[in-house]
Amino acid sequence: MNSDTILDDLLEVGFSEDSELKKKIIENHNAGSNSIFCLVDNPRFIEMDQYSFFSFQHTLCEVIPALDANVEQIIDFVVALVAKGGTDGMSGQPNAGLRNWFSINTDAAMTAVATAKSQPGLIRDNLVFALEGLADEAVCWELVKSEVIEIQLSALTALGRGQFPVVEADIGAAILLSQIEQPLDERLLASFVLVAVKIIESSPQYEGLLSELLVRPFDPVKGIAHFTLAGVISEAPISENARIFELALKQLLNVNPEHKGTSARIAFELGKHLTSERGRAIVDFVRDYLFKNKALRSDDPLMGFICKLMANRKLFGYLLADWLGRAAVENSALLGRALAKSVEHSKVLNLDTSEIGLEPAHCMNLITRACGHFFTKPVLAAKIVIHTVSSIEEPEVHHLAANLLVDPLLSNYAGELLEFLQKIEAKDDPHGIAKLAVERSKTHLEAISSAPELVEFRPSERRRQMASNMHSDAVNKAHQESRKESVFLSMISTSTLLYGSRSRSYRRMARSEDGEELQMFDIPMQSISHSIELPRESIFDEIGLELRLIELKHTGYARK
Amino acid sequence: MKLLIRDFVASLRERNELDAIIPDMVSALGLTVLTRPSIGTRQFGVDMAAVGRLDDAPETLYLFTIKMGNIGRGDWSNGEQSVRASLDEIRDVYISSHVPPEFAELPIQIVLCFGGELREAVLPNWSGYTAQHQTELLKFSMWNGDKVADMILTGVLGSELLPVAARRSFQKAVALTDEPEVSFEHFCKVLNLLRKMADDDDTQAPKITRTITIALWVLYVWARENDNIEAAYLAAERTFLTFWDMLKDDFGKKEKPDQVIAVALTQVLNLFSVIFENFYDAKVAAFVSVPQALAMALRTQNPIDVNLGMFELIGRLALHIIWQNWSLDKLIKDDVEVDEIAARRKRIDTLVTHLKEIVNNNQVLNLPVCDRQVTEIGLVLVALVYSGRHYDFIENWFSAMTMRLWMTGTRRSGFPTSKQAYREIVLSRNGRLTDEEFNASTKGSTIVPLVAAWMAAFGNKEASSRLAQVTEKRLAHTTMQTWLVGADSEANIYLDQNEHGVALTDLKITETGAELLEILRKASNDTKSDLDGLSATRTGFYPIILLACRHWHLPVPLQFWIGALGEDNPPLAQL
Repeated sequence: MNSDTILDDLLEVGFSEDSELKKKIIENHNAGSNSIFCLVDNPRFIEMDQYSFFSFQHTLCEVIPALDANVEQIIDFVVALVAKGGTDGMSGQPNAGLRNWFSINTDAAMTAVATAKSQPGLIRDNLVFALEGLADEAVCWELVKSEVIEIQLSALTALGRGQFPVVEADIGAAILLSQIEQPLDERLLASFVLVAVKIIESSPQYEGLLSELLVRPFDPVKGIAHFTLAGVISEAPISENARIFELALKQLLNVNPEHKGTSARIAFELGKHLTSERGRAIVDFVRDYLFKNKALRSDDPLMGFICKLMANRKLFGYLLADWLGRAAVENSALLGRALAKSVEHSKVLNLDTSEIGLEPAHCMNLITRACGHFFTKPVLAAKIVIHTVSSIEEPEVHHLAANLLVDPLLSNYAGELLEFLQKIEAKDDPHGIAKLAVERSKTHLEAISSAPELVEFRPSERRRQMASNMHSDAVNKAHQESRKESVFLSMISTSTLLYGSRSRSYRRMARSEDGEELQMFDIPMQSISHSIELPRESIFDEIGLELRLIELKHTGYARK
Repeated sequence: MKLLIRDFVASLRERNELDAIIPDMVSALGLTVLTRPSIGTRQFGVDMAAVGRLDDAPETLYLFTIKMGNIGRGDWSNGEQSVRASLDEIRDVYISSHVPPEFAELPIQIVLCFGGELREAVLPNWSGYTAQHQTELLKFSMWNGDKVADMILTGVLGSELLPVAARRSFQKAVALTDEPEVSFEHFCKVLNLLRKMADDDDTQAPKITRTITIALWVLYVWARENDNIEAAYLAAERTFLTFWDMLKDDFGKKEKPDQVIAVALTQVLNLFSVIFENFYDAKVAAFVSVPQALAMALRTQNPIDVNLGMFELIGRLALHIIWQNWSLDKLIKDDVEVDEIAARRKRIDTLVTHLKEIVNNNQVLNLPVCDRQVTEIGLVLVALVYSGRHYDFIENWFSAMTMRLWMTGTRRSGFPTSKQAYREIVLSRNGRLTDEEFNASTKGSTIVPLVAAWMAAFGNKEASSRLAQVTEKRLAHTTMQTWLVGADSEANIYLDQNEHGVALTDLKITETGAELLEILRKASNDTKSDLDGLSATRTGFYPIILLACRHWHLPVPLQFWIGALGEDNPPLAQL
């Protein structure tokens, strides 16, 4: 069995499981008759594409722990496999095999530690797997004291990644405290944070240690530490460790907004772990601390996090009411922008302001700003208005709500919005605000519509034609631009039908028994249409509309 | 052509419309008009008197009683204004005591003139009446719509006065009133051809002005029937300016200007006023207080057209108010009855209130799309200042305009462009412009200095500061300017023959505006003699200058409003 045969077998099994093959590979290798390590030098393997490699990568990962080898050989083999995986997320899988190999061969792990301490090279680069395989906390703490940063990082990662429990909290805390006196590189700082969290889990008295670390300046460009911070925020027990939470969040907010991937990852990390209670605590913190001390930017990573929170029904109502109603104007503007992009309409119907305890002035802020921020989603804005005022008894708020429904909403939109308001049942609108607004709007519209056409000022045919041509050109240009940037279109091929209402084509398809045969593909054509209702004022007074929306978004009613 | 004219005559709805046509028509036929129709004074059944020969008949005194539309049984004998009552009154009173002595010996013909037809049921009454009262020296004749049309065609619009080329253009102008731009172009061709004929032969000038006046009437009536008076409005403006250009050299001289042309000028001015008022009362007045109603009445999906249309509307209304003010001054000078003066004053007040309501209820008027709309802003200023100042309104309006100038300038989106072509205006509103596009679109501004001057005079520091800010940050490349009448304007302003006047440039927009006001005042004084030198100013017809500014899109000369910003003006802040 040479490396070609191994490769053929591996390819044949592919993504399936074949314990016989694994057994055969291990036996042949350990018997010395056919080393699996030769595989990585096989020209076919070298030339192979990643997809083919990944089809059998799992088989090799499972084989690795049982292989007879010395440290250099096994690491060389694993490094070659990892390199074959390239930059794909799956490329690190063989490392798990290496970790397991070290957990079986603990003497080899100790050899690897000794070699790594004495010289740089592949063994030092892969020290973390040896330490994780060894699972010896004392060895790790000892290495944390090393003067070689790569060794320190490997030890801290092994301690922080949780492959084995950290029980020697006193020793660890002492070592960390001695280390953080010195200037720290960001990678080290992140790793210290990670380990500190582990220590605090078992020994909360060391909270101060994490605080010490979190007040250190992080390098916002690299963003590595922020993944760790995101983890701290999403998992640290807020009630017991408010200070940690606050510090971590503060650090998080220093992330460079240009670093889009980091921001997205943070939002993802935060969002996936949040429960309602936790989200509420974060909201409280954001309101009490951030809005008072930091002017948020719309591209702030926290915005992504906020949007994630929106997915939670109760939190949505709370956030919306709180931020649009109570927050400072500049923050409500930013949040409004973020909300307008991410809000799902149906969630708003569950908004109950009585639960939130808003005062009338807050409600007035909420409904006014909602009309400004959600102007292009008039049904959503109307829902917020109706649901906000339904549990409020203040005539002043009702008056404002009816006015807002009429202007700017109904005066600009007459389609879906009107239908929605007409269908609202009395129990959902106990003060009859929707009905009143619809009647007033109807009267106004009738007055407007009765004006005869001022044909005298109609643009000439020449101008109409010119404007129409220019509009068509602009639409075509936008259409072409959008096609250029469309991910969807870049993934598919297109056919253009000149005639007919359906597309039919024949392709030669392989059949297992009879070879190939022609198969018909028949696709009926379907029309896709999209329509939007433009606000009337975008025609009558587009600049005035912009100003009006700014005014609505920035309205601030004072508490009585 | 005959069909066209017959329909025109039949469409003359008001009695005074036919009254306006008949004198020109009979003059063109060779009669001398002795008295013209007028309202209010008792005429004993005679609406118009003329003397002369028609169709080889001996010289005759023609007494016209003019009625509107068709004549049926009710029109024949019911009431004081009935046909029979008028005929009786002419016979019983006018002929016996009011015929001028120099015509006392002439045979008399009573003409029943009307735009429609005599109903069959009334024919026996007419025949019986004329047979009973006809004598050797008193005859009766009936000029119905068909005959009036024939007379117009053979006389005032005959081939001698309306050559084939002009006739062709005239027919196109009338036929295309629902495409006003094209209709107006054709009417201008008629106007230019006839003007050239008048210039070539002075003696023909009076006849030609009559032809133009009738042609304008025909255009107006057809446009009205088509429910689009735009071509007629523009044609009336151009006709008025043309007549003034023909007459201006005679005004102010010792010998009187040609009376026929002077009358034609008055007629066109009246028609101009009628055209606007009819349009305004029918389509605008009832909706001035309804928010956005007029903007919506433009029925367009293009915001630029809404903006252009609405500014056009307030410009015309303002010009009308200015003419009304001018006419009020004349009434006061002529010492007419107090009631008439009060009625005119009330009408002006109503129109001014409407003007303010239109601006307040159509916020699109808070910022024009292009700089040339400064004309309309200037006209509104003049109309308001001359009608009782209304400074509060002006300040509020300009505050709103300042806010928008600031916002659109800061954002490089929607700032009034100095470009004039429609295509370029559309392009200038194409979202947020690049620095390069914005600079190209805003090379000059007359609006910013105008608004800045007023805000400085009002002492409105916030607005002045905003204008200074946006000028410094975004409009450093813009030539801030205004336009002044120059020594060469008299020859060119009425018909826009050549570029004329002075562009006052390098105006500084600062936080106080003190220097701007100082320069404007100085420039106003320095060019006062040029403005005073215009024939329209010399003869007291100052609204003609504003009409020319509107028609040719020139900024209103600052002399018309700078006085309102005087240091001794109590409502304004002291600088």
